[in-house]
Amino acid sequence: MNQEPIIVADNIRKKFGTNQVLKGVSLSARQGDVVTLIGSSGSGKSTFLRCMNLLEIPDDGKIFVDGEWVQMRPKPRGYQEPADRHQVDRIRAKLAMVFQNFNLWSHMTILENVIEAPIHVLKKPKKLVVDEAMALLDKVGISGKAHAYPSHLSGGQQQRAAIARALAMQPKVMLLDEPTSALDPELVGEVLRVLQQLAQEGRTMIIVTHEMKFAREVASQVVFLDQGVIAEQGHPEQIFLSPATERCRQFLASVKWS
Amino acid sequence: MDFQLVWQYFPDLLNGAWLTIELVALSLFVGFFLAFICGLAALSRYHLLRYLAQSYMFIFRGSPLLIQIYLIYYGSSQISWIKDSFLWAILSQAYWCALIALTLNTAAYTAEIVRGAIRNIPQGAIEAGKSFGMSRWLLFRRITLPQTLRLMIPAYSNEVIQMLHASALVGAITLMDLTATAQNLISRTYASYSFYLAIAVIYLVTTYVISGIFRLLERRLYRHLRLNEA
Repeated sequence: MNQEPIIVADNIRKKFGTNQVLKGVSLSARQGDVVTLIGSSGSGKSTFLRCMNLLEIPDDGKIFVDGEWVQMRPKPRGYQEPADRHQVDRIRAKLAMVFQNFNLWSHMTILENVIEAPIHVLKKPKKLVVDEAMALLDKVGISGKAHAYPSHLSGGQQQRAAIARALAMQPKVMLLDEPTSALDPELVGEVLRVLQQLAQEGRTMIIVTHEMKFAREVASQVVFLDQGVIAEQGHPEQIFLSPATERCRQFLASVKWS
Repeated sequence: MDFQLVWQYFPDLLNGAWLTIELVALSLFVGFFLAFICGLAALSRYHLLRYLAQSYMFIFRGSPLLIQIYLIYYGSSQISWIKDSFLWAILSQAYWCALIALTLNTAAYTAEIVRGAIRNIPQGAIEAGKSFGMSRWLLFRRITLPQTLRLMIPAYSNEVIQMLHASALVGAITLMDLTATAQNLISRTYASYSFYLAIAVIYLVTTYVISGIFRLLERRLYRHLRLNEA
């Protein structure tokens, strides 16, 4: 296996107003890794994920993706900002994101949603992209909805469409921000099954989730965030069966994951 | 209602209606682009741009169109540096003054519509675009603009109809639009009831056509909200 990490977040700090959400969080993943980020609401896990593709700009700390560090330049009062917008766009294109609320483009059909970025960002030929998109929609089980609009789909179908949209970018790493949190309980399973399949195929994924059973089953590495720091991280069996810290034990007990 | 009289002067009324439609169409066309520039400027992160755009919108939405027409037509003739410049070739003509006033006026109102629409675009749609590496321009062209246009339609159809009716004010600076033509005919024939009723019907029909166009537009652009095609 390739031992160089594909994505690294180094000592990420982020403050909203006076609220220090991330107090120096670091993470690295290699190709094929599935990292699940768990922790209670407000622990900073979503913010951390959004820092990785620079939807949030970390106040401090560095991001490395697929061989390059994101260039930052200092801003007044000790903050920083990306120095090169094109580099940010290039890196984001390698890190497809799946959002809690799907965030499909409502004015486009499902197929149009899937082919949009590959055509306009990756500049791939339309015919090829459409064929790939149809195959992906088939894979996530909604090829029959290719020409429907997002508002015509159930939440679970929309999220599967969003996963297909992310896969169409052939991303180096997929970032998933609570992909099942906005779904009705009976629709969670269909999305988790798709994600499980992706994990088995060796997709590199970083997943923020509240589904503990899922987090344990798919992960190669589990990270427990608490109050803006990594309180515990390691192999899923270790985290879930013998957590070392009191906070993690409490958290796992409170979510009754098993 | 004296149909025969109205019919006799109908070509004059049509001429007037044509000027009305020409002024409204041209000002709406140019105003629409100005409105986008202004609406985007009003949401800019640069204070100066925001301030300029908001001042412009405040001034043109805060004062009567009639006064704006007067100021541009009569006011400019009293400013010596304008009379001495190339601008005078334009500002000495009622037609151009009316066109400028209507354009600036509709641009200000439409800019507010644009601003509101952009602010109502779901933030998630924008974030999704960013997260796939879309550049600012691509994001605007493929996501922000199409969604803005869709959100604008109801308010903008009102603005267009409003403009059609507001254009009746250009008669105040000698232009023979539909309303001024009718007034002119009335002063000659004293048939105020017939002519006012006739032009009211012409405005009504034009409004109906405009509404129809917007309905077609909505049917096309709101496909994504209709359930029967799922």
